[in-house]
Amino acid sequence: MKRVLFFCLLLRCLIVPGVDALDFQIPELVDMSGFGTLLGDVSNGQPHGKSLQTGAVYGRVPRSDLMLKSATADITAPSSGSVIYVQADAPVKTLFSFPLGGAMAIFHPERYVSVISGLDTSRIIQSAGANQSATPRELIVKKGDSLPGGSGSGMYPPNVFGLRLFDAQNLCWVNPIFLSSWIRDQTPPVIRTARLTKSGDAALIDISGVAARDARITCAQGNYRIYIDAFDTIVPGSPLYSAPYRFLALLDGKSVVDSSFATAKCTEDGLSFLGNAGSSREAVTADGLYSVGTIALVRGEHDLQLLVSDYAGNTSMLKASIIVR
Amino acid sequence: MLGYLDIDASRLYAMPYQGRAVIDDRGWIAYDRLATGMQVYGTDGKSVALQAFAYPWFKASWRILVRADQMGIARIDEQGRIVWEREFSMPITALDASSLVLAVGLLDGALYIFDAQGKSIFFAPGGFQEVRTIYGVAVSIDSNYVTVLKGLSPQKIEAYRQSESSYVKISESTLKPEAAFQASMAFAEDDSHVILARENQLLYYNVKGNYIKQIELNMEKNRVGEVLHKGGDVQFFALQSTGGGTVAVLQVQASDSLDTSILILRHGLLELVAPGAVSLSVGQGTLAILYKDGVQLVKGWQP
Repeated sequence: MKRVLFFCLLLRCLIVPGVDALDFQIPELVDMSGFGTLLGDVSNGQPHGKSLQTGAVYGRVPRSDLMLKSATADITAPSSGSVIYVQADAPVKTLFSFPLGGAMAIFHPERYVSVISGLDTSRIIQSAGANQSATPRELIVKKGDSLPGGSGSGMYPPNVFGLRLFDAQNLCWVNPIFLSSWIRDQTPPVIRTARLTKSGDAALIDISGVAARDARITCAQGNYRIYIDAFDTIVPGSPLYSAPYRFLALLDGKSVVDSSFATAKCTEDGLSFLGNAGSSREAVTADGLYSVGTIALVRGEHDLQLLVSDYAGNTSMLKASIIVR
Repeated sequence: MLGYLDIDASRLYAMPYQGRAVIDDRGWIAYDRLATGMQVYGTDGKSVALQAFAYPWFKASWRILVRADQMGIARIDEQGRIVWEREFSMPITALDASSLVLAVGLLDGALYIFDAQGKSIFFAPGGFQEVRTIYGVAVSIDSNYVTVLKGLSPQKIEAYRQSESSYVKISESTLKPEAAFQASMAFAEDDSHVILARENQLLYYNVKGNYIKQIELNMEKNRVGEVLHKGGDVQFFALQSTGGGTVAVLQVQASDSLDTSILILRHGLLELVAPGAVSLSVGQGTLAILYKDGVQLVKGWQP
């Protein structure tokens, strides 16, 4: 346990250093699905669990927020700040409602901005109006305040909320998972599939499964993109799956790929995940594999190790022997 | 009731509908709140499933999917095929379109205007050095003007005018009291003004005169005054131009979302009230006012 906590603290300090300055604590919840998880895995109020849809589906991109499931219809505010934006679910169906439903953007010290969605903001507005004026000039949220969710808002089922955190100094959305110290995750991610694809070549080399363990893989010299389908469970026993946190590739013992869901960087074309170019679709294939990096394979015999870790440092590994001709 | 008045084809489409849907002259899309099940219908009633995690938004011949995380849009055709798509690095906070351009405002204050092919013809960058959030946007029907409600401390209405193939800012006016609420905005057809609605506030912004005034409906002394403000708080939503200098607004009783009215304002003054109405569609000389259980056609509508 100490090793896990130390690893968490180390990652938090090394990868998202600015977050340490922020007094931000994700409240204890019954379930969570993480940053980088592909959108669209909650349906009919029930999580799909560990099944993936296939084919190109618009909107099936890595999420830049955490999906939080509360035990109640409310969620506790993770930090204090000034509310800079409020949207509400439209009260009638003939009006367009934005998918985040009731949502608030909160400006925090150190130039962080959080967005909490799935709220019943009409109740927040009403109570603010009662406390201040008919059109409150400034709404303040205090850490620990109870924010109402009601019976579900926008695309969120009842008791489910979205939380995202923007670092306005470094222009990136930060993975807030490190701000939930109550989680005790001791289960490593599961690697379902791993593939190599040669640049300019549509052929796939499957390096997962029985075939890879029993036989050596033979391929041509060149640059290969690594694609991994893996999932993690953050809360023990959870039916929700999450993206893993970190992807590491070791070629003959040397690190050649090291990408993570620490942040999603802002680019002109949208969000950049796992070091890929924006938009976020660049980070995932149509059938849901993460594009984690590129390795150069030169003639000879090589050992390739793929390590997939969750935020707590629990790691799964896949090994392959590759003969490059 | 779901309805659309297609003046060019002399057709009124109307059907009882319980769920969520958007409709135009090429058909409609039914969708669910969880952004998973979407069905595209033609005017012949035939349908195809659309695989997308998004909400559909229709306006002025635009069919747009707003991605479930509110950080991307895609233009789709009648069959739901993606024509082009665009991702943003911030959540979308405001959206409006004319037949030629689509305006998108973001949480950080960035403003994009796209043409029909998805080319960005105007971009104003955002940032969080100060709060520049775009709370609402309106595009004039002829595409000549775009106005935005933007920022806090100060909060401003900015007006942009089309210039060659892009837009230039022509004026700004400070708005008080400020509020962090998302707003709905609609241009009058004659480009004279914009009606801005947020929560229980209705504002009139004169584009050429660059001034703002609050609309006080409860001060109206006319035949329809008694149907307004039955007690309790109300919410207003600017819907669309109803021709000339008129704009339609939806009024919803905050304590009872079934208690609705459509108000038509002429230069900010009350012109017509349709108690119980939830939406409307407008064409030359005709208004179709939609109620929960039927449609009223107002022929000879002269804005």
